Amino acid sequence: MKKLLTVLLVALLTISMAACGEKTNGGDTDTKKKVAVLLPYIGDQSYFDTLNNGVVKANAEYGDQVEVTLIEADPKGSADKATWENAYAEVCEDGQYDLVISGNATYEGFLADACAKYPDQMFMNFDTSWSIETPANCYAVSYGLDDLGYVVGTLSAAITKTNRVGVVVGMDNQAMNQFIAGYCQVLASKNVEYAVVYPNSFTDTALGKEYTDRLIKDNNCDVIWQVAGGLGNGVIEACSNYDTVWCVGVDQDQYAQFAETNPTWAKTIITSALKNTDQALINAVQMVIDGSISAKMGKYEVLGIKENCVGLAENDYYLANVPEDVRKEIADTLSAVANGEVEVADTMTMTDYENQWPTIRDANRINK
Amino acid sequence: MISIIKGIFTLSFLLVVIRLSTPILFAGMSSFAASTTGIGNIGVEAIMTMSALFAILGSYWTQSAILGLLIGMLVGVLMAMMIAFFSMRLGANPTLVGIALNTFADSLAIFILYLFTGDKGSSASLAVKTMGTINIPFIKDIPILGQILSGQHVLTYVCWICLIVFGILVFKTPLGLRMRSCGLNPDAAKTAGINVQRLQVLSLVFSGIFASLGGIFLSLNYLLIYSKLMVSGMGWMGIAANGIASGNYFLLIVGCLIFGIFRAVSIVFATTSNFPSDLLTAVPYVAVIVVIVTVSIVNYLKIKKGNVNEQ
Repeated sequence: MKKLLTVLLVALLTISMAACGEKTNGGDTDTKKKVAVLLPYIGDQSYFDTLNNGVVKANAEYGDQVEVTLIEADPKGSADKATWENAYAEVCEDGQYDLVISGNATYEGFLADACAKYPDQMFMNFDTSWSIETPANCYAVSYGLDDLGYVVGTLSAAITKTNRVGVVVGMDNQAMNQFIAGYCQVLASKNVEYAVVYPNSFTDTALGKEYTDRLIKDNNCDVIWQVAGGLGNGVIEACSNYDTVWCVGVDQDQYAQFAETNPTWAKTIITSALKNTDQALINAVQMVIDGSISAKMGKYEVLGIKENCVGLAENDYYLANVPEDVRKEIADTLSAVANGEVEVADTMTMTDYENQWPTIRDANRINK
Repeated sequence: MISIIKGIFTLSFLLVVIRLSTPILFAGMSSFAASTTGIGNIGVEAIMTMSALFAILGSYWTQSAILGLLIGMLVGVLMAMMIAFFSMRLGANPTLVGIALNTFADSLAIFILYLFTGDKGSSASLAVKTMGTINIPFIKDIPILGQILSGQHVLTYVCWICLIVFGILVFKTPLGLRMRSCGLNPDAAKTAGINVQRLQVLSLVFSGIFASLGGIFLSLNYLLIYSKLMVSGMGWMGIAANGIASGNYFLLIVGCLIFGIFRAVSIVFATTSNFPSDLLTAVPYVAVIVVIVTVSIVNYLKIKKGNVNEQ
């Protein structure tokens, strides 16, 4: 028995060594550019899956020139240091990748550490919220959420019949308010009244429903935008109980999300405010292919409408329910904002947030 | 300010209170049922979470809301039985078992959700049959009263029926008397020939059923989706209400309703004024502290008065 075990162990060792040898041989012949995408996990059907879509699309489109590898570094989402250090070590140590993409609010601290540890590796932070100066070997991007809010505001103003609209925002902080600064600005300029409520949670779905119900019944709002994660499901549910009320989704195309499983909900979602992280990834992959990515190192960029990184979900339902003149107005607004013809208020770049923001928020607010 | 007061004294405010109080009442009953026989169940939040999830999954698997309800209840009872097993058979402290349940339930629910739907945020990808509301004929045509009594969610009616039936069971039947005696003094109850363990298990079954109904109300009846961490502390509110009541059934109901009312008040504040949202979130909890202090002062005064009389 013991002998057999020894033999088996030796066999196992030999095979594993052989396997290792083969792998190194294979790696040498590869001349394609290589990009690694380090995500904690995928399968959340929103944020990280959007990025994974980008990986799939990039491979499908540029598969002959580049190989984009997705690595699920932290399946439990535990965000502990050792896990991420190991993951970066595995990816960066032999310098086989031309670009390593990772980041976002929760995990970008590890990315910053890795940037310092592997100075010769090029990195990209796909959704930056850090306050540090962008490292010299990193390309950091964030999204023009201020422009997004401006467009949603324009749409809300155009389709409201009661001249009153509302937005449910998960938390009252500078980053979340970036979504709605442009929204408030454009509504005030069009003399549409709006309600801004903060349930102070991203999970308490019941509160989301009751807040929205109240906005509809008592404040007479008929277009509600939700920027509140899981709580937003309650917002959609509340809107779906009223035939005359539209809901605007967030982050991904929420009409498509519910179209098959819950038509009652889908029916109320006229469009969604999109944050296309996948597009940012594809843009970066293109830059890896033509070599221009090295020029971006140490730079921080805000990706907006022009880069197709934020926008509205223009699906069939949107086309069928929004009149053509409104669609034209939206298209004009999109191009005007993209070309910088309108100055959109942005909480993230305000010099005096504490004083400036309340003035914009309360300009034409119902619940002030 | 006037608009806030106007907002509170309306029919729709009352309806919001009824809806928001239902899960808290279920949680309160669950906690009460367990503590009647002296086994504290602080895993209410956990049971609500798991039942909410399994009701949705069950409804998806069977394409029947009733079967989804039953599966959710079964899971709730099973979890309550875990408390019974670990604390009575294996001698663990029921509070610790409750903490364990609470600690693992949130993450386990997300894991199970991912397992069956490939989604970690919500059950959006499942087409489920849900429970609706009940319109009672004739009553629904009565102005105002009709809107209160009719058109509520199915489980809201179940909640109030449970409140009455369980109140009668505990306070007006021999079984209830025995259950309460276990809670007051288990040794004396044993001496009187009562099977204490059996009654404790029974009360935990009730506790599991009530907590699961609270969770199922949220997912299958009220919000029609399972969304990550959706119970958001309502189980704890029920436990707190039971803590205030300390065995007084009427106070339990009042405590749960206070939570519901102040959650509704915070909504009225938020939608009519620019009151800071962080403060609003604290309103229900501040209300409970105020109630606890008031109740203990009243009790203290009563005892003090009693002592004076004795002397």
